[in-house]
Amino acid sequence: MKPDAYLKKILEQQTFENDDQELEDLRKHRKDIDKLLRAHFSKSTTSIRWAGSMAKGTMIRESYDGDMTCYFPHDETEAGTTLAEIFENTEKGLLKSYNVERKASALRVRDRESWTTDLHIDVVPGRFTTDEDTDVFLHRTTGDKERLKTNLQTHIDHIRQSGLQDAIRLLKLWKTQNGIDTAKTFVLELLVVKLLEDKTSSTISEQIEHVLTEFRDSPNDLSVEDPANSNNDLKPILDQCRSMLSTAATNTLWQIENSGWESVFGELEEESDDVKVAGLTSAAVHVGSRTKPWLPEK
Amino acid sequence: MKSWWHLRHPDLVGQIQEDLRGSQPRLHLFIHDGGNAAVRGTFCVCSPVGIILDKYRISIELPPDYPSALPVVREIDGRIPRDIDFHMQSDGVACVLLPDDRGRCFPEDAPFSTYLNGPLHDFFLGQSLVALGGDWPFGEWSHGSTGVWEYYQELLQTEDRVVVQAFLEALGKPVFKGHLPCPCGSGKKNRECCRNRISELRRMIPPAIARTAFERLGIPQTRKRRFRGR
Repeated sequence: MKPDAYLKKILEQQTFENDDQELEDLRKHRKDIDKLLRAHFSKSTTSIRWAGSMAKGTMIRESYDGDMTCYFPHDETEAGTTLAEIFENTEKGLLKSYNVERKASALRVRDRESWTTDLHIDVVPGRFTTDEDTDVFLHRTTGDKERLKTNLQTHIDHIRQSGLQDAIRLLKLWKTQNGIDTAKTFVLELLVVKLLEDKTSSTISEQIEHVLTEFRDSPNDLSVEDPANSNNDLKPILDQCRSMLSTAATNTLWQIENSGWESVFGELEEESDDVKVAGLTSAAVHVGSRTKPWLPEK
Repeated sequence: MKSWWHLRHPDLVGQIQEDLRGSQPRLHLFIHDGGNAAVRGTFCVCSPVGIILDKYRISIELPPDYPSALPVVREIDGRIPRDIDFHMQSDGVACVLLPDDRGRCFPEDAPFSTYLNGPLHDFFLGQSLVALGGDWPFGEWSHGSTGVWEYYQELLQTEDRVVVQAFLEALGKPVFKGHLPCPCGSGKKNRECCRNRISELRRMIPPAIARTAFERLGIPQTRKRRFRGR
């Protein structure tokens, strides 16, 4: 199969069908969280909507999150006077029904019964800067600055209007499969758009190879600007992942050259459980080491 | 403070990268400024002809005293339940193998690919089969000291715990002593009885492992001191 046809198939495999259980679960949790937060902030006109990959059209099965905004009008104080209070009060609201993990500007929602059961939802509290309900201030739990100005719609438009969602999704998959967790998805998206701005008519395989080549050859030249706020310094975030992007891109380009694209993103066919069991059992027969697992303490 | 293995043995970095490229190309070695070294990415369970059967996102921490210390493996996605019955600790650390067994399946001087293609592949192959309703393909050791006893009883082909302890004492000594009574309990001297067997066992169970086995077996300190004092 030719590289572009193969990559299109990979993208299809990574696309949720409308009735997929994962998506239905996300919608259900979103509905529950929406209800919970509106009840918690009953006197406020909270703006709750999908953000992130769900809104940008860049979601992949391999690693998916539903980002939900929880924005408050600029002149309301019911949720809190300061951004930190809004963040804390939103957390309090969520804690009524969920476990919550604090992230840089978001609250990761987890199952109440089991901390390890991830619901794949981040709630992002914030406050609109004016009554135009466009720019927002987010509270920051890490870094030097306590707040971050951003604009959800600008981010969504920036990605959607680039027409590069396929390349973004494949490179998100590449980032996930290669363990480059320090590369924030938001920054990776901006990098892809910037590196491919004059390559929108190239084929998808050319686009991916171009981005990986830039990662490999010029990691220190990579730079991006937040389209919603030019004062948002993304360099420290990029600095955290430059060498990892370069290392992984070097290996991936070597793989493409020597073993083809299938060695990068894997086989296409999804096998039935029976076929999988047969394959795994057969693989076990050929194993020489035959080690058994052991847990130190019960 | 211990220095990092990649500072003591810089050539090992290239060897590991080469092993990853050859065995698990979606795993990459990342060395951070602080010295912390970890392999991250996707581990593929493969058929003998290289067909990918399953995938796991993992990190493999290579501690400062690697390769003396074993790699610490974590499954990142939470796909495997953090449950002792799945040989996973609550923090996501995978209990890949019994340390006592490393001399057989991943000796200290073995390349990293031995670990990738051996114990680690066996572990995730087993996890995939268990997830599909099967059993561990090569069995599993009981948790804690019971599993360590099982290991040595199987290795030494004896149910007798006294004999196991006697063998471990013999294996824990820095040099083989032929004049001592044979640990098998025959009443003969070492050199007249299990000499060859002990020599073979010493290659699989180095003295350091044999000595620390007493802790894992849960043998009281007094017993251990007697052992060490001999």
